[in-house]
Amino acid sequence: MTNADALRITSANDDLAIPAGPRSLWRRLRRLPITLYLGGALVSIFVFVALLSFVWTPYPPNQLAMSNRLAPPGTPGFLLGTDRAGRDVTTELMLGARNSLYVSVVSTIVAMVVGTTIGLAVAGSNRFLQGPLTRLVDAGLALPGILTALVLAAKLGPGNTTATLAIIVWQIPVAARVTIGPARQVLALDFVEAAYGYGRRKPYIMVRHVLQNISPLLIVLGSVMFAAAILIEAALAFLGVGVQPPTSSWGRFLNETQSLLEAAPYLMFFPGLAIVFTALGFNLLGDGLRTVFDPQQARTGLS
Amino acid sequence: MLEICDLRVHIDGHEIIHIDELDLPPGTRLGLVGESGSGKTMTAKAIAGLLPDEAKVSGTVRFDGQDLLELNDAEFSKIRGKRIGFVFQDPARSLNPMMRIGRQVSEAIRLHTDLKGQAVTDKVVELLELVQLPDPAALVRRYPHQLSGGQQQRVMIAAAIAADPELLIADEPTTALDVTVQDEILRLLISLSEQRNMSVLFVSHDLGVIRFVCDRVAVIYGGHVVETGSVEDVIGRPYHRYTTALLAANPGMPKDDDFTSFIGQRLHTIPGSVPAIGRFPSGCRFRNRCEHASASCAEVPTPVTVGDGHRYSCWHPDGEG
Amino acid sequence: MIRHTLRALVTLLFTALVGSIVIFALVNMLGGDIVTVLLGQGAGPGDVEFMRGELGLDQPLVVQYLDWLGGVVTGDLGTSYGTGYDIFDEIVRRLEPTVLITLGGLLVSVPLALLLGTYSATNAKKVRGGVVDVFAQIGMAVPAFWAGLLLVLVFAVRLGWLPTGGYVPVAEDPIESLRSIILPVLALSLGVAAVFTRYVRTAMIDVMNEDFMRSAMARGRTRRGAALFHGVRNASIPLVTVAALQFGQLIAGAVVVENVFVLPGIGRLIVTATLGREVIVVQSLALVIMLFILVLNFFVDITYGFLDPRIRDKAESQ
Repeated sequence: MTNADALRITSANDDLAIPAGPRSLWRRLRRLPITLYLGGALVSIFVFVALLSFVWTPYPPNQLAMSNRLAPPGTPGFLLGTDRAGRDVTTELMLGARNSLYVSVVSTIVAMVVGTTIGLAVAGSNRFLQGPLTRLVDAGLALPGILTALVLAAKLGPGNTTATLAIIVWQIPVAARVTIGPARQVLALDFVEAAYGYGRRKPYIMVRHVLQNISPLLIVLGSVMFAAAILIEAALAFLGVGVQPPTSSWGRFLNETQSLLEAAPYLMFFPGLAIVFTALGFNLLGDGLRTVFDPQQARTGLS
Repeated sequence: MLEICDLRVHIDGHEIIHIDELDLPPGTRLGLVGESGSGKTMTAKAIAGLLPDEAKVSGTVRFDGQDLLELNDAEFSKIRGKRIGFVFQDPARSLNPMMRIGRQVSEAIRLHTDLKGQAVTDKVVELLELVQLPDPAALVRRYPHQLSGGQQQRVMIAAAIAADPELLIADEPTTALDVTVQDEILRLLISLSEQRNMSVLFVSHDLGVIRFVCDRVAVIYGGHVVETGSVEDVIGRPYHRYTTALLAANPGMPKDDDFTSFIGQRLHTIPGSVPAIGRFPSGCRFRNRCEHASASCAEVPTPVTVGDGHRYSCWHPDGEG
Repeated sequence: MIRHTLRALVTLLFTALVGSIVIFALVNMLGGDIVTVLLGQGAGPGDVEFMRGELGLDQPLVVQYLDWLGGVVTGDLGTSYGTGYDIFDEIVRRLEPTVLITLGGLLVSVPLALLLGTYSATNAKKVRGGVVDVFAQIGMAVPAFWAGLLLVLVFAVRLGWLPTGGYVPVAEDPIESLRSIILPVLALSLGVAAVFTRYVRTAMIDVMNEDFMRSAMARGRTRRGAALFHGVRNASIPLVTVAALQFGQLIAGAVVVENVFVLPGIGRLIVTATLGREVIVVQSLALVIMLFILVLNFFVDITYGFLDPRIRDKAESQ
């Protein structure tokens, strides 16, 4: 191959190559996207508070104090005030965090494991099956999460388990769908053919090569799914279809504040902001991770 | 008509283009040749005002007396299309797939002239005929995907000359096309240039194409013009080592048109590859790939003029001992 | 074009089928016996047997499923156990508020997202563009019910401009009707607009990087002109399909928002039914809602076929 041929095999844009970035660790940390830090901070706070609630809360869970109901924030002993049954708001928020964490973690992990497995299976299936199978997965996406949740809740009764199950059923097709495309791309790469060539079997290839290659994507997906889980758990609890008393939840807390809009309008801010910040945190984290893993997208601002 | 003086382009603190002097007289076709990464496309973009925002440009690019680099985007947009036309490399991607051909070809007309309605359509049909496309009246309402690559490029050319520019900048216009079609497109460009007395700045990595199309050529490497002159002079009697290397590396370019001289010979390649930005050596940018480099090459070579408009910048040109 | 429409139709039918199977499976194959659920704890075995016969639950599952589907087509969705209303009639009665707020949500969020997304894309490298993106991020994290509460607090409780809830049918009093849906529509639109804005932004940034934009500028368009005349028109076509993706979110939002604002729509119906453990009602309602979404998607799909010349002219060029 002559240089002349080499000249022809060039990218259309013919721009001069850009050199590599800074080396020192500090510099690299500074170049990380701010969304990563912000998101990471919010998520850390959330997880910390949720875990802390297992060990300590300002007041014991569900301690009613009817004599002290609807105390405004700043009342001595009650940093954020109390709700209509005299429960300390801070405690309620912490317990709500715990509940959200539980539901989100369980549902996201299960949905991702099952969904990714299905996605890998579809990506690795033979050519004729792939089309219909992918369409099948797509069809699974048609049901909005809330409908699935309501159907399950009507049959199984409201509760945390139902909510978790509903989120799982809803998110499995999502995880599967996201996995199929990239998995197929990796499978088409040459080094995978080479692996087959020296005797590796399909399951091994799937796990060792494909999974490893798409794992950044999955991490981002996980973060986003977490955010979705938080939001829908709150929605279900708000409607009364999710977790039931006496377990605390931000969603249900928010529901209670609706009748208090005149008496204690500030109350709705606490659970509401908790939900927003937590969901936002996971979304930002997902964005930040996406930027880190795929700088090409970052430069063009793709999502 | 186009005079470039001390043009420098910086990106990320690195100087990627530095052209002391480059001229394009009216009615000439000038080729800008170099490997990919040589900076030829960047130079064309710099002239056109189409560099990315991060690039910092200095110097003068005088077009008919007016310094283009002093114009802002709005002012420049009045010149682009009207006085300078462009043809890009990949016509399939350079045409809007969701817009009818007629609209795209007429864009420059509608922007720069007062023509409206039927007059515009007539002009478009006229242009499509000029670029030798069949059934122009029907073509006006078609979409790009309905045309072949060669036809698409003809459409691009029609669109580029629509407002009758004095200069046409063509960046690798035939690289993405079949070889058989390339010839036709190149001939078209030549004839258009001669009919309309339109100058052409033709950017390419292919010396053969440049030799075919252009009167003059500038060889560019690492953002510097290393040799410039008429096509006969530079290709017939090259001086800069990069030029000779390019010529030798291109088997379609026997120095004396005698192909039998190739039989049994090894193919020449230029050792190494084009460095990334910021990795070029100081002084003569080609010296780390040049067989004839010496210590003195650490100094930027001064240009030497040889013959009529034939200039090169090399301490150890071909023909030396 | 025909092929495209047919393909969209097949997708519609196939997805509807799969969705219906999922719903049916969730109801009939998980958890306990439907009858026990419906009748509650105190039911005796005699009642249970009777009920089973009534509901046709002694038939094999497949037959039950087909019966149910058949019912959807003929308009016989069964009756509510609790209050005995006919499900189909009830759906028809409650369509108006749901349709109004859903359409309203669409009408508000899509143009808003187009504006904001384009603005954010053309100012992508400046602070202004980033600010819009930040707001979109936040908007995505705000649940519709909280937005609703906020709006009620500000506009109804504090300012008293708009009602805190309730619905007035259009036929009765158009102005009051409008007033009763403004806040729900706004609450609903926020989340959808936020998500859609980010899609628009991405699509526009993608388009701006396309080669033909450079060609447009080479013909004399300014950056803004190119964005407007080439970018927006190109990007809006695939965005149509993305808009369809938002229907699901809109419906989900409607369900929740109807409960916040006490609107007698389908969203409220399904939640009430769920809380009342009316399995049959919920099963059919979920199907109807899902079909509604799928049909909307189908129409959007066809529209896309019209708009994209590469699909539209397939017949011509061949």
